[in-house]
Parts: sequence; structure tokens; C-alpha cells
Amino acid sequence: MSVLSVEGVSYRYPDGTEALRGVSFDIEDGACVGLVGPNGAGKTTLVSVLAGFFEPSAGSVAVGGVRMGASTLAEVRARVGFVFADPDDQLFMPTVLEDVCFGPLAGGASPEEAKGRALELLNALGIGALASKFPGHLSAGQKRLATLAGVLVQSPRLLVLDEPTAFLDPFARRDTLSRLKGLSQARLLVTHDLEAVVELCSLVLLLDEGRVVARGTPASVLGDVALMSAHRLERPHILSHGHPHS
Amino acid sequence: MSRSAARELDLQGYRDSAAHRLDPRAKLVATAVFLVCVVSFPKREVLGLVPYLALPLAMGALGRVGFRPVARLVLAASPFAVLAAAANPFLDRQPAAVILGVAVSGGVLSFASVVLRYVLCSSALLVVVAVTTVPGIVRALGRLGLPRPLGAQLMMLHRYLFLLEDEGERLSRARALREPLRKRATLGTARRMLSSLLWRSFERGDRVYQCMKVRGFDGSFPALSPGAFRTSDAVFLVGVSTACVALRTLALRVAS
Amino acid sequence: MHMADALLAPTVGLAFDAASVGLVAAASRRVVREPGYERRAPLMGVLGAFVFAAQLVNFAIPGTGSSGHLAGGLLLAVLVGPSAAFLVMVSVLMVQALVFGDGGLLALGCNVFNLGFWPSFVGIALYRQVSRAVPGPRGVTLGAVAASLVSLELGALGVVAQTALSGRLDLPLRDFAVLMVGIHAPIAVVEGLATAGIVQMALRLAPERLDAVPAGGRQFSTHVPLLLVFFGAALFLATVGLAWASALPDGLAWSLGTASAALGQSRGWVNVDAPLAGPLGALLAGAVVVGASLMLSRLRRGNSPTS
Repeated sequence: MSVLSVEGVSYRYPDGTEALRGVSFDIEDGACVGLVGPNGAGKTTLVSVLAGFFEPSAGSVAVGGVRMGASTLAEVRARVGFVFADPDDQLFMPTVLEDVCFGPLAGGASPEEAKGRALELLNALGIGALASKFPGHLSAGQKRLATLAGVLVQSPRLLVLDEPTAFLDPFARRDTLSRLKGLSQARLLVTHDLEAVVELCSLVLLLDEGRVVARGTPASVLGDVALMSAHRLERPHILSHGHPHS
Repeated sequence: MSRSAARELDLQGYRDSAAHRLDPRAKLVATAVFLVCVVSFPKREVLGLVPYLALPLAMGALGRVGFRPVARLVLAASPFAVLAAAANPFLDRQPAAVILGVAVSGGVLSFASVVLRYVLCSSALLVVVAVTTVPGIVRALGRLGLPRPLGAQLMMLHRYLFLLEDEGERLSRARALREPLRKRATLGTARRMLSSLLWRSFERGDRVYQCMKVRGFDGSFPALSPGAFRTSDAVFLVGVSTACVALRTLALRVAS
Repeated sequence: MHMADALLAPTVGLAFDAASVGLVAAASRRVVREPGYERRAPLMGVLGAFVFAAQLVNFAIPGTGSSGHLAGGLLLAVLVGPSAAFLVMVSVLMVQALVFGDGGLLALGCNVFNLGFWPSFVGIALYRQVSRAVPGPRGVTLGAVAASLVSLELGALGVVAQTALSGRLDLPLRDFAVLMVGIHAPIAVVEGLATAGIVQMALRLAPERLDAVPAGGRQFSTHVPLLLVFFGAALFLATVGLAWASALPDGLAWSLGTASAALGQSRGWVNVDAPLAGPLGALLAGAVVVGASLMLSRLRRGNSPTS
């Protein structure tokens, strides 16, 4: 059963720019889908539509069978976890623990319950020691894990990850990727990090000028040199050399 | 620079020590008592103020607060108070006391008193923040009745303070690199720089709002259950307050 | 010009703290009821941080050789409205005291009054009136300069009144007042110009970002809590009056005496000079301050071999 179903979604900015033109795709339970495309392809706009910041001018979005609309927005948002590119935007509370507790508390959990769930998750992610730290003092990798904790604590069925590997050093990137790989939730990975897509995703959508121009396995889409260069992308090296750790 | 000292102190609040573990409310109220006592001394008092140095020193030692960042901040913030008081020795030349056989004018005494008060008040506050963290102080204020919108405002401001300062710093450096012959920006350039900084701040605000919104933000900032006020906190509060008031009344006795 | 704990008597500090607590409570209640608070809350936090970042952008104050930076109160009021701007300024002043040692805990009430209240409630009202009366960019500039002059000078006089009431300094009240007013005049003009520039740019790029200024019809009183303004102004006048009376025990008698003398002999200019002495002195002192800073900057420029 599909967790996310996007059907014919179009979005036009107030200035008339058509950022999305009839985008359709589904994400199955537990699947990891990569969304790639050059700058200006419409990736960020699509994330904003999925988050309910923009209302599509045509088409519909449904999460777990619930169609997104003004009345269902809170319900839909509770099922989807968003991880945005800049962790400093996302970690807005004064300590990591309070930040992870923000979602559950806003959702009506008791402080004890929220704290318990948050600490459990932080320990599971190996950053329990950072609970009382100020987010601004964390390393980029720690920030990334903390944002992940703040989202996973709400037990979402779908994760939308916008450039989750940005700003990370190779070690932290590897760590983040292996944690993302181990998740059971459905994931939409929106990124320029094509190697990460090859490693994590079973399906790739190539978006350009607001349209899905290609879809398929990472090897078939990202491995197509002509297609890649036609859309200002590059065939990832990992496809020619194989998995770096295998 | 004093900004790096401020960051250093801010970082120290997240350490652990006996001073850090005290309830922020106890530390805050004790500081308030301390300040009122120090400030309530008569204009020319110098000797009676000296024992009060013990509190910031003891607190700093207990919390292993660095001496240098505190001293740098105290120095950096001093000009107005010290300059304004520096006129006192010239205006009040009446001998008011004899110290070690030398007649000292009232103006010199009152100037020394202001300087001492200044050092006491600002170092005490900075040391307390360095063993409490700003969010800790804000939480304490919240439980003492600070309105919630201001509490949330303070938390957010503190969260983005150094992040935006870095942006301002980068902007200033970029300007300095591009017009190396000009030491300071002209007003016109500054206006453009500030506009760009403001624009980025607005965008940051929008992004933060969106991050809050997708996690269920509805206008109120939730709080975790706070720590309990323990016996040790009460002992600290009562002890410090009593000492401050006692020193104050003692000094009055000696004077009269 | 942060008021410091060291210059305050406890009664003065606590009185202003108490007044500020009242203002903060009123502004907090108001701000959550304003439409769009939910969206504005994170923005207010970031704008508070922006004020600190903006203070790193130093610029030359034309004609004085010294440098200045934005104080920010008026700009905030134009951007997010009076109550929200006031709360942001209170938070800025608190963080300045807690993290940077600027000001102090006891002096917080004084600083909230001197630097937060005037631009957020009085300056903005003046700005709105002027910018509405004079259309276009000229109105924005004129309004911002006038508003920042009035609010900064009132704040400077607040510092004078608070120190005089506290009695920790020997500076004669009148000289101190003249000095403070003189020093703050060029600073205020530059603050106004910088604010106007930023507001104009914001008006061009994203007018929807600015706090909705009613396009006529609605009076500013619906937006600026008039009661707060009256309350603040009354407190301020009382403080200044009290300071004056305490510093010159016969101040009232003196001014009454000179006034009646002037009235009684209002024949020639010579006899009227007593009531004029104050303003003239202030102007003169302002000129001296500007001149002195000019000379200082010349000297500094001459001495420092910066390319």
C-alpha cells in the first residue's frame, strides 16, 4: 500500500512561475525513493507542497490514504517527518532534549511521556549524552542526528529528507547514510548527493522544469550518461566502481 | 575581543559543577539580593564593598569559570559608568577621609566606589550566567512570573544570537576585503549591508517557522517539567542572602 | 549609553524595574492577541539576534569621524509593530546584560525605558504620522530621523534623570543633560538615516514584510497603546521633574523667579536672556561636542598611519 501518493500536482508561484507541472508518483510502505534534479527543477517547491506550505494549483497529495487539505493538514503533518537542509533552522529549542520533545509536547503528550520517548530515541541514535547540550554547540553530524531524533520521535510513516547529507564531512555523511538505510519508514530523499541515492534508494525520480522526466532504478536513471547531462547532472562514479564498502 | 569572551562564557554554562547544579531560581534571587545590597551603600563607601568580592570569586571558583573572559567583558562594557564617574574627583575636592595619613577627597572616594560597584555588579551577573546558561536563567524567570511570550522570545534570540552574529561578521569581512582602503563602511554601504542582513534574517525566520509548523507548532512554546527546588538550593539562597544583608548592616554599624 | 547598576540607587532601579514589569506584561498580553503572532514569534526571535548582528556593521558617522551602529528599536517597531518591537528590545537588552555585561540586572528597568520604550511606542507613532503626512521616500526619511531624534534624546535624558536621582555622580545635572543631548544628536540622525534606508529598501523589495500600516482612516491610537504612552510619558516627566528638583533644591523657585523677572521687565532682549540660557547653552554644548569630536578625529587620523 502506498504511504504517499502524489497525483498530477502543479504549482504556480504568485509571480506566475510554473514550478511544478503535473507531478505524479507513489511511495510504497518502507520504500526509499530518491528525488533528483538540477537547481530550479522544483524539488524545494515539491517539498513545500508536501509540507502543506503551498497549496497545489492542481492535483492532490495523500498520505496514508488521507487527502491533504486545510482540514486534514495537522493529521497529515503528524504522519510525515520533515528533515530540512539546515539543521540550525530545525533545532530551534535551547537544548537537544527540549527540541526532540517539541513535537510530542505540541501533539499533546505529557512532559514525562515526551521526555521518556525522546531520551529513548536519543540513546538509540547514540547521542544520549548530548541531551542537555545547546544545539549551536554540536558538530554538523550531531546536529543532523538530533534533527532526525526530533522527527522520528513523532513516529512518522514517511520521512521527507531535504539534503540530509549537506554540510557533513565524509565520516558524518557515512554515519547518517547508514542510519537512514536502517530505518523502516518510507523515505523520500531529495538531494544532489547522487551517490547517496544509489546506495539508499530503490526508485529514482528525475525532476526538471517542474516535470518528472524519468523514473526507474538508480542504475537505469542515474547511469544514463546522456540523460544525466541533458539535465545538468552527472553520472555518479559509484555506478562504475560499485559500492565503496562492498 | 569581548564577543569571543561572551561566547566562551556562554559555553561554560553547559558544563557541570556544584555551582551549575544549583537551581537557577536560587542563583537568580541570590544575585538580586547581592545587587541591591551592593547598590544600597552610601555614595562614598569603598571599604564596606570589598567583602562582596567574595561572592563572584567563590561562585566563579566553584563553577570553574574562567577569570579572563569575565574580566574582558567587565572591561569592555565599562566606559559609560566609569567615564561618567571619572568627573567626580574633579568636582568634589573636599577632603572626606584620611587613608594612611593622606587626605582623600570625597570625589576620589565616590569614584572608587562606583568603579568597585561596577566590577561587583557586572562580574556577579556574568559569573552567574556562566554557571547557569541563558536558557536556564530564562526558565527560572519564567517560573518567577516572566510572561511566556517574552520567555519564548529570549530563548529564540539566544538560540540564533551567535549564528546571526557570524553572518554579520562575514558580511563585514566581505566588505573590508572588497574596499580595503576604507576602514569603515559609508552610511550608504552600511544600509545595503544591513538590508541584506535583514533579508537573510527574515528568510531564517520563515524557515524556522516552517520547521516549527511541521512539528505541530500552534503558537505556544511547550515546556518540560522543571527540576525541583532542593534543600541545597534553599541553603545556598538563604546563606548568600543572609551574608549580603549582614555585611550591609555591619558596615552601617561601623560607619555610625 | 546603557545605564549601569553601579550608577543607580536601589530605589531608582527598583522603581523602573517595577514600571518595566508592568509594560512588559501589557505588551505580552497584546502581542499574543495580535493577528499573525504565531508566524511572528520565531521571526521576533531572529530579529532580536539580527540587532546584535547589525551592531557588527560599523559605519562612519558623517562629519564627526566617529563610527556608529544601529540601535534598532525604531527599525523593529516599523517592521513588527510597537508591542512586538518592545518585547524584542527588552529581550535584546536582557541578553546584552546577561551575556555581554552591558547594563545590569537592576538597571534593566532603566534601560528598557531609555532604549526600548521610546522608540517602540513614541518614536513609531511619530514616524507613522510624519511618513503619512509627507508621501514617498522623503516622508520615510523625515519620519525616521524625527522619530529617532525624539526617542534617542528622551532616552538620553532618562539616563540623566536616573543618575541624578540616584546621586552617585557629582556631575551638575544641567551640564550632564546638555552633554548627553549634544552627544546623542548626531547619533540619532544617523540612526534615523540608516533606519530610513533599510525601511525604503524593504518597502521596495517586500512591502508585505512590514507591519501593516493602515492606509489612512485608522488613527495611530488604535495601533499604539495610547495608555502606555501616557503612562510612560507621565513617569518620565515625573522622574525628570524629581531629578531637577532634587539636584537644584531651589530649582523651582529659581525658574519661577527668572520667569517673573523676565515678564516684569520684558522691554529689551537683554533681560530676556535668562530663560533662553538653557536652550542656547544646549546648542552651544552640542556645537562644542561636535567640534571636539571633529578635532579628535583629525588628531587621530593624523596620528594613526592607516593607509
